[in-house]
Amino acid sequence: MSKIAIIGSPNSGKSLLFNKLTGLNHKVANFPGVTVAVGSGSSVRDPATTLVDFPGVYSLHALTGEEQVAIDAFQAALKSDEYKAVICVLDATRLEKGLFFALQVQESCRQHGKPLVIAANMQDVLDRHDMRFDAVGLGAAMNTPVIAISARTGAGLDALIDATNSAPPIAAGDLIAADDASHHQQASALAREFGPRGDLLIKTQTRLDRIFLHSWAGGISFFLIMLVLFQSIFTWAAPVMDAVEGGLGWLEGLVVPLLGDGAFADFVSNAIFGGIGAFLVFVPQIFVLTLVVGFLEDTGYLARAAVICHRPLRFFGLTGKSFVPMLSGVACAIPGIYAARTVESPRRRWLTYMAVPLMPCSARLPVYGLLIAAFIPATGGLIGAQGLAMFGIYLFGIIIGLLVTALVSRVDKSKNDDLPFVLEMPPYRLPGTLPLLRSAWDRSKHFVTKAGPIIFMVTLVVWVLGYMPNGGTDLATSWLGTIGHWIEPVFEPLGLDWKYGVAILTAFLAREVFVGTLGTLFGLENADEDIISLAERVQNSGLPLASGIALLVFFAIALQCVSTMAILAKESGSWRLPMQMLIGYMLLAYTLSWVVFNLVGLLIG
Amino acid sequence: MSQATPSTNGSAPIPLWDMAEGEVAEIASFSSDLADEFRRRLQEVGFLPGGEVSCVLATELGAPRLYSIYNSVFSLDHAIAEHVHVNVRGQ
Repeated sequence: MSKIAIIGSPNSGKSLLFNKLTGLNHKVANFPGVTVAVGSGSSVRDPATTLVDFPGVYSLHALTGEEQVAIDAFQAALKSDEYKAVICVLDATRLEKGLFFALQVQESCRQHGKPLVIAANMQDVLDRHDMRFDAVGLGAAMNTPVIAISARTGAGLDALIDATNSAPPIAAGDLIAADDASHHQQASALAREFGPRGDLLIKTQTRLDRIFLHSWAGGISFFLIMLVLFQSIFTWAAPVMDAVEGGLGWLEGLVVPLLGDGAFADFVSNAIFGGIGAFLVFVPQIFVLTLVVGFLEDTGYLARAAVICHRPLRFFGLTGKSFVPMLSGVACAIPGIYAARTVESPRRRWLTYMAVPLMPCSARLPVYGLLIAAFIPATGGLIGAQGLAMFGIYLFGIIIGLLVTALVSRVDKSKNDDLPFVLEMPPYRLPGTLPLLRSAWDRSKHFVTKAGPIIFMVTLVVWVLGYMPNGGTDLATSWLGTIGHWIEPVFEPLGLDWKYGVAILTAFLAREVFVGTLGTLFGLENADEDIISLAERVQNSGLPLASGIALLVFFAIALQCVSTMAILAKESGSWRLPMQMLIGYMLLAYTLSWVVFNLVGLLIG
Repeated sequence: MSQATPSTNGSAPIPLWDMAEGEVAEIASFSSDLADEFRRRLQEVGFLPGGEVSCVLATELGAPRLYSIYNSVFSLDHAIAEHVHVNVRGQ
C-alpha cells in the first residue's frame, strides 16, 4: 500500500481537496494530548493509494509544541518508505505565502528523496475574476510539477493524481533556494513572474470586512450571529435531546419489566439507562454546535468574530477566539471545550478550558430553579425577585470565569506555547455541506467513544454505593448515605446536613442529579418534574436562606460534571488539568460559599 | 482623505499600529523587544523588511487592525503591531 502526504498552509483549501480526493471514505485521528488531527483515507481515483491530510502550518519551523507535533509527523512521513509522494497545496490567489512554504517543503522532499507536486488551488476563483496564472511556467522555474486545480469544482484533480504517479524525486539540483531568506526572495520573485495580477479579491473581502468589523454594524451583526449560534445549541438541539431521552425511556420501559426486580433490573434501569441517558443527551448539542461553529469557520466569519472579541477578552488573558467556546459553555461545557479547538495558541486554549466550565450551563438550571423557588419570594411586577436572582447567579458564574483566567494568566507568566495575535482573515466563502456534516459526526463519535467508558465507570460506582447494602430500598442507609453522614462536618459550616452532602456527591454525575437525589431523600418521586413540591419540603426543613445562597454559589463554581472532566482529559491530553480544576474549583466554591453563608448570616442577623 | 505627512516619508519609521486606514507603507524593521519566535511567524506569513503593507481597516476602540500584505489580509493586535516599523509611502 502506498501513501501520499498532503500538506499546506491554513486557508489553502487543503482539507477541501482531501475531502474531494477521498470522498467520505476517510477517518480522522487525533494525536494523543493535542488537538492536532491527521485525516487519512483511500483515494477515490485509486483505492490502492491512501491520502494522508497533515495539519495546516505556515512553515516547517514550529512555534508551539503542538505545531511541532504536526511537523514531526510530516517529517516522519517523509522518512517512511510507505509514502510515495507529497502534494503541497497552496492558494493560487495568494501565491507568495504559499510558495514560501512550498519551497521549504521542496527542500525537505529533497532531503528524503521524495517526489513533490504543487497543487495550486482556487483556479475557479481566478477564472471567475478573469485572472491568469502560469502554472506551467512556475513548474518549470521550480523544477517541480505545478498543477492548477479547484478543490471546489474538482477541476484538475485527475491531472494532480497523474502527476504524483509520474513526478521524479526532488534532486539537489532542483532546489532554487536553500535558506529562509532566499526562500522569501524566490517566493516573491516567482509570485511576481507567474502569479495572477491585481488585488480584486482583497477589494471584495475588504468591502465585507468594512461591514462585519464596523464599529456598530459589526457589533450588531456579531450579536445576531451569536444569537443564532446560542439558539442552535439551546433550542434547535432541544427537540433531538428530548427525542433521545424519550427513546431511552421507551426502551427502558420495554426492557426493565422483563428483568424482574432484582439487583440486575435496578442496575439496568438506574445505572445503564440513567447513566447512558445522562450522557447521550449531550450528543445532539455537540453535533449541532460543531456544525454551526464549522459553518462560521468555513465561511471566514469566525476569524472576524475573533477580531471583534479580542480586545475585551485580552484583558482576561484570553483571546478573541475564546468567545465562541465560552458562549457555547453557557449551554453546555462539553461542546464549549470541543469548540476551544479553534483557539490556535495552546496557552490561550488552556485558559479557555479553565473559563468554559464556569459558564452557567443549562445543567445548573434545575438546581438554581429549585433553590430560587425555595428561598426567593415570587414577587409580582415586571422584574421579579426570582428572575433577578437567576440573572445574578448567571452573571456571577461568568464573572468568576473571567476573574479566574485574568488571575491565572497573570500569575502564570510562562509565555511558552503562546502565539502572537497574527490572524489570517480568510476570504469569505460558502462552505461545503458534506465536510461539515462529516466533522460533526466525527466529533459526536469522539465524545461517545472517548467519554462514554469513563462516564459509565463513574455511574457504576455511584450506583453500587447507592444500592448497597440494602438493595436500593433506602438511599439514607446505603453506603452513599453513610458517606454523606461522614462528610456532614464538611458541609456543616454552610448550614447543610448530610442529605445535601449526598446530593452534592451524586451531582458529580451531572449537576441536575442533585434535584433527583434530594427528591429521593425528601421522599418525593419524580422531583425533576415537581420542583415546587421539593422546594416546599426544602423550605419546611428549616434550611436557612444563607445556606440556600451558599449552595447557589457552590454550584456556580464547582466542577461537578464527569462528562466535562472526561472531555477535558481527552482534549488536553491528560487528567492533570481536569483534576487540578476539580480540586481548585471545589476549594474556591467551598471558600466563597462559606464567605457568602457568613455574610448573609450577619446581614439578616 | 488625510495625506501622509512629509516627515514620515523616507525619514523616521513609525510603528505599523500607527498607520492610518488606507495608508501604504514599506516594512523597515522589527523592534528588538519582539520575541524571536514572534518575529519569525510574522516573516513566515509575509511581513518582511522591504515588503509593501497597507492598512486595510483600522477600527476604533483598540480592536486588532487589518493589514494586507502580498494579497493576504492579517489581523494584528496592538501588542504585536507596535513592534513592526514601517515607512509610510502614502495612500
